[in-house]
Amino acid sequence: MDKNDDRWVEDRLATLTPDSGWRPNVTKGFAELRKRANQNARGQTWIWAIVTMAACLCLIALPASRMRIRRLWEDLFFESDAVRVSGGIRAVPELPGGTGIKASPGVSGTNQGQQFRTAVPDESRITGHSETHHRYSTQTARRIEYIPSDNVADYLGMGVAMDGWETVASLLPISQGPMIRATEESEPSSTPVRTTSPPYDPFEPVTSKPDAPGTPEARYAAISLIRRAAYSQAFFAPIFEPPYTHPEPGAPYTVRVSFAAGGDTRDGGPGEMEETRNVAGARRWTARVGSFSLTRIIADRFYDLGSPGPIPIRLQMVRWIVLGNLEILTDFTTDSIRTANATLQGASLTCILTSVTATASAGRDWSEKEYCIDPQSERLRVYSAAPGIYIVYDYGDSAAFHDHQVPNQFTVSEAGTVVLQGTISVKDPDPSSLDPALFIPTEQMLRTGVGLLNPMYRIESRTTSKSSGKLQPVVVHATLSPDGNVLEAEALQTSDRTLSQSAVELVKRTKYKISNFYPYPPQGELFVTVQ
Amino acid sequence: MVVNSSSEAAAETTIGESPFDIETIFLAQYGRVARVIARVVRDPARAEELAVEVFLKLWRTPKAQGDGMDGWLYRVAVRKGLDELRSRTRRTRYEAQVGVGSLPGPEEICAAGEEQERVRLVLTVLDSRQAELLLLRSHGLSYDELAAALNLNVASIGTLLSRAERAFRKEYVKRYGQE
Repeated sequence: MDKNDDRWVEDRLATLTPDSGWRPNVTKGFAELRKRANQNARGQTWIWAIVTMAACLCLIALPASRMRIRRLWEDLFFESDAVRVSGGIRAVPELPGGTGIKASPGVSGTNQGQQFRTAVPDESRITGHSETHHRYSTQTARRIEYIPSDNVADYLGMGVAMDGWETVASLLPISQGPMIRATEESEPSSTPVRTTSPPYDPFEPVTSKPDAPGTPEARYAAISLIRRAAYSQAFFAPIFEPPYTHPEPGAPYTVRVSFAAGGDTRDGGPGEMEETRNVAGARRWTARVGSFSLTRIIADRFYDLGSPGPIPIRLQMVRWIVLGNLEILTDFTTDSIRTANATLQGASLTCILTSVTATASAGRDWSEKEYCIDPQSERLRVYSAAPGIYIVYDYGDSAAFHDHQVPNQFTVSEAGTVVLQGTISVKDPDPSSLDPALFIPTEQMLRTGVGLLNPMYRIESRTTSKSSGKLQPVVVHATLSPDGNVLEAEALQTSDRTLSQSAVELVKRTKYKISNFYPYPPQGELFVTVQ
Repeated sequence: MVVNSSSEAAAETTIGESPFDIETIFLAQYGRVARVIARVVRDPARAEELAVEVFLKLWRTPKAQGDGMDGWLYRVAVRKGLDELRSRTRRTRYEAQVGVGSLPGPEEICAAGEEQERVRLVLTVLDSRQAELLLLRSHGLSYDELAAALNLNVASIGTLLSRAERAFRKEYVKRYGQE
């Protein structure tokens, strides 16, 4: 070491020596130490509280963890797999479009604290769930979407829970909007594919290029028009008034349908369907087509008498056409919406095309549903769930039922051919003719039948054929058994018979899964776009 | 949570019979620690505050409470002082650049010309390890104590110290010229 440096540096650093008269105050210092220690402990408590709160928020923000928290909460504070419903329950009507378990026949008044199974599916089958607010008929409901963890053939389940009515969630059918998204997310070939346009169909009303509404107001107007038209014909809609805890069943009714079923299906020919709802909301449904017949009381569960086995596809269609709820078919908050003008039997119509994916194709896109509405009367004239299938509604002079406009005829075409035609009549039942015994199951009606779900939609991205570098999709209309097997299937585009047949065969070979959180064995109706 | 009698007893033992007695250690070491810091920061009152922080850290660092605690205290104290010194230097420079801050008082003007302020400024620009070595050495620590405090090999202390002194002198001369 350089002695000069050593000395030189030492001299300078020596100047730092504190004043010899300074004595650190130990007593004061120790008191300060105690004080700071206490402050830090309190500060750490706050920090931990904030960290805990932030962690909780993060957990709540993630669908999967939120589901687990919810399950844990229910495990801790509710009986297993059950939710205690607060508030009173009056005779719960079956909600439109579904066939669920409801209050006991003729029950009125309240059942405080009655327990119902929740709509939460098996946690091992889902990766998470999300909740959004959703306008359902005349009121707002909470929509719960469950994201499946299974393979691409699985579905995303959806329930709708009215505020304070958790029980409703398990009773409503799966809807198709979220299912499409789930399918697309889980498809291996999720990249956009080029497809040909839907082939010409003589029943397709839209022949010009649809336009997207230019303003939010125009979009809202289109949505509102669909809602008004859908509600107008939903004579069965329950009545919800704020605070939505006591939905009224709505007016009693008797609806009669006579129809003729055709096409390549298991049970065809003439058929009949009738349903009566009493003031308490209990219903009696009778139906017959081909060799199939059924009498069902829909009350606190299904009580069936008649043919065992699945409900024929045409009867399932008729029930949905007459008693289904069109409004919940699309998620209007995120859908692509386009409009086009059309004519039907000389009448001008406004056609609204909705899709869960944005589209700008020159004509109708494969993913678009179509509502054609008479803008003057606001009656729904044509509904098309997918290209190739069209329901045309006609209204007679006596279409009014309370504040609803009920069609008196319908015609369904598939692949350019009429496959179903029917007449509808709705009337107020004569109270004196409504024998209470009609709504009480007999000893022979102990069998529980299947519940019919709203139509579901799916894109099957398994290429079957290519045309000029573009995929040629085929929509297959099918019904599903509760265990996911295809019961009946038919192609909605038949210009290429080979292609259509292979698409149908592909769908028939596929085993699907339907969410298992229904309180009844569900029978599904499915539209698969095979591409 | 279920708490049984044995777990309660275990908790009591942890609190009441801890071999680490902060009060005794504080009374024994506080003066030395405060003086180490006071060599770096000019204000004795501030040095006492920082010394309290050093003991607070010791209290919360179980690893430091065994053998080598003295060296740990020196190391943390001198780093605390240097951090404070660098922070104050940066603040002063920033305030001078943007034209804010209070004007220096007579005492500060006087101190600025003093030798000890020059030394402190040079220490702030030196490598941290070198500044720590110089400060603790000037405080009277032996090579062994320096090695223990700074986690160094005692055999290399001489070399490192020599380099630190050369670096200090070089920086000082660069700033203030040869005196």
